[in-house]
Amino acid sequence: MTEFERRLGQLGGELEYPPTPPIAAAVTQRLGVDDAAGRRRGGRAWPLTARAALLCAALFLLLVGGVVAAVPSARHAVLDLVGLRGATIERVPSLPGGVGAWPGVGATRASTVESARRSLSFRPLLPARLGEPDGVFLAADEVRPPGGELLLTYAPRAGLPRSRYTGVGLLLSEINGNFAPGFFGKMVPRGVPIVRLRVAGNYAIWVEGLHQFFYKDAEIHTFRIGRTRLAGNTLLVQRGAVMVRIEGKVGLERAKAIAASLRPAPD
Amino acid sequence: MSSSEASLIARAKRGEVRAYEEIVAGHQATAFRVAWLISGSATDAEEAAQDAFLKAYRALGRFRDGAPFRPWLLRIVANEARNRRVAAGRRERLALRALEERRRDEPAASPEEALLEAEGRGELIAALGRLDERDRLAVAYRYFLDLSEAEMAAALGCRRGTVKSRLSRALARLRTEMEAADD
Repeated sequence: MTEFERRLGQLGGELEYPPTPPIAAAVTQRLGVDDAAGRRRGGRAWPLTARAALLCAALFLLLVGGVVAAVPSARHAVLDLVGLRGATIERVPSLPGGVGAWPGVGATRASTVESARRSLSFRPLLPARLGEPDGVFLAADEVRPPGGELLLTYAPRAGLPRSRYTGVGLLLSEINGNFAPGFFGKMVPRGVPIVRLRVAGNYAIWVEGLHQFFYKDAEIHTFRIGRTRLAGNTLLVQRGAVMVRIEGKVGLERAKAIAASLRPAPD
Repeated sequence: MSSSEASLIARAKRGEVRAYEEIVAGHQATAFRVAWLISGSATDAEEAAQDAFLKAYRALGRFRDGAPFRPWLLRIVANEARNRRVAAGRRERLALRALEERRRDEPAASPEEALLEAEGRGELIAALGRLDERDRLAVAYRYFLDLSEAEMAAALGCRRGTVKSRLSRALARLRTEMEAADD
């Protein structure tokens, strides 16, 4: 081996790589989701292991048990399950009753994105061309996921009409999907489309129409049904470790443009 | 490949997701680093590695028993990372950096020596970042991941006899890059 090759070998141990993310957990989660999707499409399903079956059964029981306990009228079954890191979406026959639109529920005000950043385990993403957010919030302690949650609101304006569900033109919620897997929950009734897509290469899910949004306790995975609220059109985008939820009275193309414009907040 | 990995692969082939999770955990750092060396983006590297592991899982039925798993996986990883880099229209130059902390078992004899060594390392890293992806990958597989010629052939998708010449060309270009920087 030449001196040059020896130096290269030494360099291999000295390069500064980015920290390795928890890929194994994400792959396992996606294997479970794709497995469910494969069976739904009627295609060749992957072998479902005993562990995966138990996980699905536990999730099903948690969901149905939690909903039924909190909302007696919601005696429904989960028809399907899709998700991204940090979010889980259930297809249900119909939405439970007794749930309203409660904008701002579970949020406490922060002054600026910079000040909010200190409470977050991730670098916030901000949409370009919308200017400074009109409201910056953090999730209140009782619904705070591991790693924190940032909520940004933008006032109604041309291209961003007021949503009856949030009261604002645009609501962005961000969490660390690695720290809080499945924290954002959605119940979507029959007839409301759930579209899986890519936005600038990032995995995304678009839900168009009225559905219910709820937080889950990320540590024990029980459902905080009391925090359920009605929600309108929503785009969920996974940007690395950050799960971004974009909700507003906007169409898919507008939501995609906003998602594609997301940039890390300045240091 | 160790017998325990062969056993995990056999179980994963039978559909045991838990066994596959163990395989992924054992290779995730290498896969992520290779994807990062190609894509130059941590986000793309993470997604490329995830997608590669999913594709590898689906292709396990075609994986030959007893064959080395790592180079087979790295070939899939490299393809995924390459596709993302092309889709994103990114230029190839990679911003590599060395860890700040000096290896403790090799203290520098003097501040001047330490400075010279750091400069030399910096030049080498910069030259490596300017190599095209094919050359950089050949160097990384051989000197960073310590792959054998046979493993490199499997990972690069070329014949074993081609590996030596490819590596030799990559080293020559690396030297040229360093010399060009000196001028």
